[in-house]
Amino acid sequence: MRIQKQNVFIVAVAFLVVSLTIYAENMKTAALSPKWEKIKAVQIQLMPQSIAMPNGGSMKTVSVQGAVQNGKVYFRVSWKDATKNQTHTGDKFADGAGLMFPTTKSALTSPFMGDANNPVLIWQWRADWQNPDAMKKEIAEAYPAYADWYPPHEKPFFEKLGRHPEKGKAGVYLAKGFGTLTLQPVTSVDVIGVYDEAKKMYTVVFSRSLTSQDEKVQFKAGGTVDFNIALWDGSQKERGARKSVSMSWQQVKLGK
Amino acid sequence: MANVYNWQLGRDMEYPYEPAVPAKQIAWVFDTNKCIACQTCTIACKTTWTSGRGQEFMWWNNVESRPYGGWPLGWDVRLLNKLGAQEWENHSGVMKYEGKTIFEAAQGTGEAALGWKPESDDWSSPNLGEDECSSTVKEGDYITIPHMPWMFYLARICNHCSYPSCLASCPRKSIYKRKEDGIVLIDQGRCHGYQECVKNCPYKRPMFRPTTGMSEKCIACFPRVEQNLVTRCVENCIGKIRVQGWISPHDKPVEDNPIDYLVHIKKVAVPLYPQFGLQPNVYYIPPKHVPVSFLNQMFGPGAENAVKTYSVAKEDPNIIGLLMLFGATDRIIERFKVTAQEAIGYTEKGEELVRVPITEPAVVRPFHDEKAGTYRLSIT
Repeated sequence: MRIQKQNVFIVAVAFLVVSLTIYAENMKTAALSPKWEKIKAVQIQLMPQSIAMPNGGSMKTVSVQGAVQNGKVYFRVSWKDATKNQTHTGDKFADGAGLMFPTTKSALTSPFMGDANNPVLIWQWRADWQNPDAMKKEIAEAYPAYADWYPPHEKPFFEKLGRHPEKGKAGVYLAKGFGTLTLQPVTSVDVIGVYDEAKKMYTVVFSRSLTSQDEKVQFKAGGTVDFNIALWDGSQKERGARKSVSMSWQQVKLGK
Repeated sequence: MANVYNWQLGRDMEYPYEPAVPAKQIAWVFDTNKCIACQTCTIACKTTWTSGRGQEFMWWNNVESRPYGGWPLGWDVRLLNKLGAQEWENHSGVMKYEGKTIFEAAQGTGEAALGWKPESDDWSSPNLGEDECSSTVKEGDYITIPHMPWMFYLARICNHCSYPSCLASCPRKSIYKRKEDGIVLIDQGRCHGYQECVKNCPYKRPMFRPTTGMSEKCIACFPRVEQNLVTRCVENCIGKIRVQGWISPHDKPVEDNPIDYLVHIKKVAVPLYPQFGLQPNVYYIPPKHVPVSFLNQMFGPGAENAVKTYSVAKEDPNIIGLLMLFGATDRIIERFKVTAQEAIGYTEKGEELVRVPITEPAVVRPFHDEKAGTYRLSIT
């Protein structure tokens, strides 16, 4: 039997859809897995960022867990947030979470965005990056396109969001001190954020292969990871330097 | 915080960064007395730079009416209100600002500068309240607040300040002031759309573009300036209210530099809200018919003398000549000379750019056009 080109296409599309679904399910399953209950969580007190201007930050505590499974590292970040803010517009800012790792030794590295000799690696999740469809809808409603002609070289609506990582991926940055945060062309970190409306609770899971050629930070099962954490509460218009931070290096053990 | 000298305040002030004086500083003079708010500048800018999606509410150049108009809504009065009443003092004829700049007022607050962030609605009306001041001047009226049958148009672009608050406020260090010409730009490769610049620019010139998630602002038509061409708003001004050039340091004015002559030597053009402390580089010839108290608040204590000098401009051939050179060419006039009959604009190297008569010759044509065999509707 001859295989029709059309059939190949359908099979390919079907496979792509299924694999994307499995992938999304995996990350969501990873975020909500009951196995996390057996892994010790580090409770961290947060402070408003008050060193670089502008200051800010309203979140008080966050819980962080680390785990390793099938060659991948998982970090699970959970915190209470009374409101779900998933868009970034002229008036609104989105909720977010960031993990920061030293690329050299934590003892040598400033916990405040690193320094010239000791850069830090940062993984960021933002609710608006995860929900581009919600963003698109809100922006279309808030800023209707009223011109009847646009320059033809303009890319289609919303595709110019240069700072947004791919859906399902964390923003990966390097920083060498305040104001130096620079997005890296790295797509190795998967991330998902789940908001529990009943508990008013965010759960965000970051995941990456234990080792990575793209990043200077490597992990190993049973090891201890030094990190710092930041949270942004969109309802308080927190963004950028207006964030709640752990002031010193924290440690989490990578359980199995 | 660094200590920097702000000549518009007559004193040192606190600024988050050390001064980095550019090789040249771009500057403009706008004559408010000649502006008719035709918005040709606004549209010239719009069609050149902000015709894209997500820029529908974005006007890098706008013309608003005073005292009640303004875009975004109440951009200046809301900050003036936050800053509170401040004082200037006369030190042997030199006015010194004794109040707080927006940088000084923010000290200890965890903010780079005193500011406020407009909501989307504040950007939605380009000149709300523009007709509020329309009324008839009755016989016996005298001009005073709050009964104010006066108004004027205020054309605005980014001031490309010497001490930009947008630059000072960006936690991403996405904003920079160019070494070669002092133009202030937002690096679209670094901006994350936090809108700290939108909040802390007192003139509200940076604007957020929702479809890119980044902020944008007037770029002083830098690709044109790099070719010694004036900006689109200057080129297209049909009222010829604008002149563009380079401003020298306040203590080293060059007499035949148009901007220096108007700003530093004759002091007929004054900065917009100098008390905020940014040392803005768009200078205004204030409107002649507006109460001095209002002008002092908007243009600083030099406004009254500026109006006086402008009112007797005919006594200074150089001022009259320069006013003739406003809008006379699309090239940047760097030097000028005024003769009894003509005003001439030159490049810095002395290349002649334009030559205009001080007095337009009046030509009266016969009422009857012999050649066409018809009568003329206009004979002058």
